[in-house]
Amino acid sequence: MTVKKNDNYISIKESRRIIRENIRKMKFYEAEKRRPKTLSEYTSPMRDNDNLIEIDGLKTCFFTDNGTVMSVNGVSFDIPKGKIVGVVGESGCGKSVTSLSVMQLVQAPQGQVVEGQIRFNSGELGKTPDGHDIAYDIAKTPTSEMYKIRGKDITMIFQEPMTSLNPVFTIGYQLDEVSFLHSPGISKEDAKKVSIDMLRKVGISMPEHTYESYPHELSGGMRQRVMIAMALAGDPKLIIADEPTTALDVTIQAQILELLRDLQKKEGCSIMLITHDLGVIAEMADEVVVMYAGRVIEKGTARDIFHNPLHPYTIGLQKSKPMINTDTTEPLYSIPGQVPNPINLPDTCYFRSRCGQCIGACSGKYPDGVQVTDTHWVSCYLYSDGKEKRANGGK
Amino acid sequence: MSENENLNDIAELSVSDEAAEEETVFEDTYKEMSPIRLVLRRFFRSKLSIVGLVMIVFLFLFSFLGPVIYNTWGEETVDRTTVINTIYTTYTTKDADGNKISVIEVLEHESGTNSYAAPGNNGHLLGTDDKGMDVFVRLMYGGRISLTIGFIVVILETLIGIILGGLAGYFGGWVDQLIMRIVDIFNCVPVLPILLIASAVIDSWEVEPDKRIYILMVIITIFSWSGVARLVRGQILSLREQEYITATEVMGLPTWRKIFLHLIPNVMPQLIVSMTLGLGSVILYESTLSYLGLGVQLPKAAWGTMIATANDPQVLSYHVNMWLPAGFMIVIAVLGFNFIGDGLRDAMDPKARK
Amino acid sequence: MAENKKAGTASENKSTAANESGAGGTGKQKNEILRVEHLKKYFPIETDFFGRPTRWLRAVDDISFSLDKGTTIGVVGESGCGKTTLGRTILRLYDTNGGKIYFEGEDITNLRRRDMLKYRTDIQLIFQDPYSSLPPRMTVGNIISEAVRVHHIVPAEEVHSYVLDIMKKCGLRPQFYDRYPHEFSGGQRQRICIARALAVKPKLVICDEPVSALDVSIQAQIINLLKELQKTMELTYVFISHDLSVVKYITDRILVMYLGNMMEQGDTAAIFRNPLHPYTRALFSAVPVPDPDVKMNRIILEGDIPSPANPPSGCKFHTRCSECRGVCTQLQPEYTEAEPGHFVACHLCDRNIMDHPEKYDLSPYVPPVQVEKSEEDAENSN
Repeated sequence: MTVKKNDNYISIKESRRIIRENIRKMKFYEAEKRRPKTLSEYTSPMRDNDNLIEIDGLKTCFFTDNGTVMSVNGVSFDIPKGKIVGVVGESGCGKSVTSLSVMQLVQAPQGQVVEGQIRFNSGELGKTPDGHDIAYDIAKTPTSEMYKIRGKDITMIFQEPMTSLNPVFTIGYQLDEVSFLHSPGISKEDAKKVSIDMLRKVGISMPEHTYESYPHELSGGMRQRVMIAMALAGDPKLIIADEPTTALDVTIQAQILELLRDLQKKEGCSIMLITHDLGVIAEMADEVVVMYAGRVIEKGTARDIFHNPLHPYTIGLQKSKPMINTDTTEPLYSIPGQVPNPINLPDTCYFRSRCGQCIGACSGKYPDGVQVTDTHWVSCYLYSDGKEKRANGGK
Repeated sequence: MSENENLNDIAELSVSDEAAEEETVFEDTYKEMSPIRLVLRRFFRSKLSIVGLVMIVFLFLFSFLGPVIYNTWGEETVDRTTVINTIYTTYTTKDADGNKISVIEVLEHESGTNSYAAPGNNGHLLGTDDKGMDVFVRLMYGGRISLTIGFIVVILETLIGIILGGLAGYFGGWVDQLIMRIVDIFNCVPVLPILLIASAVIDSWEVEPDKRIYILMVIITIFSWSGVARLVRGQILSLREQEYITATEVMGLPTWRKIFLHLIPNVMPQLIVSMTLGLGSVILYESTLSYLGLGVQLPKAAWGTMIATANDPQVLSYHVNMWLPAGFMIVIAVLGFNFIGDGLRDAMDPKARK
Repeated sequence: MAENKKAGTASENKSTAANESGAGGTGKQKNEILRVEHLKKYFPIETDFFGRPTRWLRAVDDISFSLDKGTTIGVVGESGCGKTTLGRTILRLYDTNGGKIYFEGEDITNLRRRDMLKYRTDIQLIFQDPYSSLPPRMTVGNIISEAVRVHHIVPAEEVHSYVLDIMKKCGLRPQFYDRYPHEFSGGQRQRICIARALAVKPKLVICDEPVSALDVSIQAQIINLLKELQKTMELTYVFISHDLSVVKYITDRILVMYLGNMMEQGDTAAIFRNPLHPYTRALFSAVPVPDPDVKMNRIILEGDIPSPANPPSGCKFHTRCSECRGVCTQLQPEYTEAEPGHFVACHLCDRNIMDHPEKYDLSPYVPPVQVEKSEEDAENSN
């Protein structure tokens, strides 16, 4: 077999240029992070006081050797207080990176939030003269401030319950640690009491026993419950659940979802639920954000998204999953092609090459969003000028 | 009417497209690095591995090209220039008046060999040793021997290691038990005493200095293959759990094909790293043996034997030029290979993909 | 083999009996490609000093089913239920601890490795993880063509065009021939896996969770591909999956497993219309439906899946069953035909048990008191 030049690989010259560029940019953003800031620099007023989080034009990049990956490319959505917002999309669509940006946990220095605002309404910073709450802008908040928010006001539940607990400490020790962190000066006995209460709250039947166990003695479902207990410990305002049930069996998934829903109602916190499973979203979420290749392509209430999907991708996603409550032997609808790799994407609709109903306008630049109804927003040329022709036709 | 209609006509529109024909155009919007470039890039990103590479390249040029260019002296040529060694001895006494009287005795001694020459004397860059042979030139020839022994031994031990480790890892059971117990035995034998005994035995055989080098290679190989065998076995055990090895079983491929076309190529990265690191330790080994008098013997040059001259306290303190450069070369060689080995390990580790 | 009533697919009961009385496995049914009878696969988890196993993990315990040419059987269950082990035991990657496997009427249960080679190309496996199942240092062309060359599936000079043809069938472009797997996305890697498996012209393909690692939009592509290939190449699938909606779509029959045991088996439509076993019902109701207005009457199972190394007595499901009776904890349920072609292993569906309350303890089972006790302890300590 002859060795021929493979056009799929970058040339050495190009690679050098990318690396030089990356180093320059990474230095710039790291310096910006370390610069001392005044309070006014990293706070800004909320648009709507009922929102807990307002993400506005968020852009998060990864500077890799293959080029700059725009993992999150201008994402905007809100998380209202006391609601469950589901973020759905396929792997690599930027849903996890969005959540990490909110936690300020994007892996630096390769990963950087380069643009946009993440306003977090902690309710502790007072109001502007015209009555808007002043909020932290997490994109600019210095790390020292962020420590106070992270783990207390915003907590996270990860996908892998197997690896997110430290295997050498008991569950009790790890739970107590959280209590010590959130209420300094608490006595050991009190911490234990709090921990056991938390374990009971997440439906563990023998909290005393579990308190003494090591993570490897627990099953996946139990571990996920412990993770939830930990996340709830600091009375959080927002819980980010990143694929909380993907690694679990269906029957255990049902348990965990029910638990999350109950706890959310009881505690009144907001949940940002990230998953690729439309079923989980439909079951849990009040509002849904659909992401594709680093952009939000459609958002609305759960009813909007599931009963009146507008974007061809959302429609395709729903049609391509066989349903358990319908009978069909027709070939499944499938979206052709595959998710693009978010490096050097052209400024056209990213879904264009996979879309079955392109129109002339689609070859133009990336479509602006259209507010179809009060709650329903879509980014597609099919709805931009014809004034919701399809949406109306569907109603 | 309902959204179903909406869904259906979209389905009609796109189901007709052949999924395969409609490959995405986005695929071409970005390019990747080729696997070899990726490894090289990660290798050269580390400054230490560049330092190591420079050291080793220097060593190679010095040892293999050096004697060709700088051929004033040969490896075993003794500088026969007559030199007059003058020894001054001063005797001091006191006479009855308390005056100091110094008597200087001058001894002139004519020698047939220019031994113990200082650096720079008579064109010897680093002087000569006790036999009147050029230290600098012997340094170059010593490098040749060290590097040659290093490479041959490493290749030999790797071959033995692959075969035995591969057998143990692939077949398991009693084959594994047998081979691994042999490895254990080799690991717990006290190496130095055995070498010293071997040294005495070989001395009694009165083999030629040239042949001793081969015996040396065999001895080092015998005592160092066990590490490679262990590594290969461990790697193969973990690779066997990989699904693509299960796939070869499902495909019904013959055993030799599984071992040599599927398992061994995937052990190669680790082997290359261990071979590079092994080179350093073999050179160290060879020097130790030469120092102990087991390895390369005079008049052949080796770094170990050159250092051995420091056994003489006179040489140790007054003729630093005779042994220090050899020690320095050993440090360069071992450090260089270790740096390269570390760099390669980081570069080839698939988990290191940031 | 006297326990004929326990024989899995009782529609084959007669033929099974005939086979067993006759010369083992010659009475091959016309359309049948695979028959598994009372298959057992145990793994030793504890051994004594001399390496003799003292405790076993019963990964596959008494599984029986049969499969007709061109059809698909789905094996459903949660993690640790032994569905993957079942697939690999059928492939003879493991030795069996009992039971029989008939492939096209031939008993392949105890064939030696060399004799098994004959059947290797006939039964193929598609893996769950498209990332670890492709050798990283071989080109796509070599991966697909290797077994073709080794087994002389086509003459040597036609291998290249044959492989390109298979690649086209599986939706891979010919220019991929010289590329390495790491350059591809999950979906395309899975296509390569499928192409590799199909290149040797198998008759039976065991699909071990072939789509669970893929994105939704890619899943549909792969499922459609599998279905289409089944039609064009007359393949028979054993489709192992935990995703019930996919299983429902692609299979003709379903086998529900729990901790190594069969719970229920029957035609897909029948099982989904009328699931008999409480576990099947719970499993079905746990699947989230992508419609916010459908609020299903959900049965949420209590507790976790017990460890397969230490399974409960009696019916293995009784620790989580909401309809558990006293008899369930004592007696392992028999495998009975509840309706034609629909088998279930549950005392509640067994007339022999339910009609004899005087013989069996049919009172609702009281869950162990241990839980309450420790709750009290906790209260006291507080």
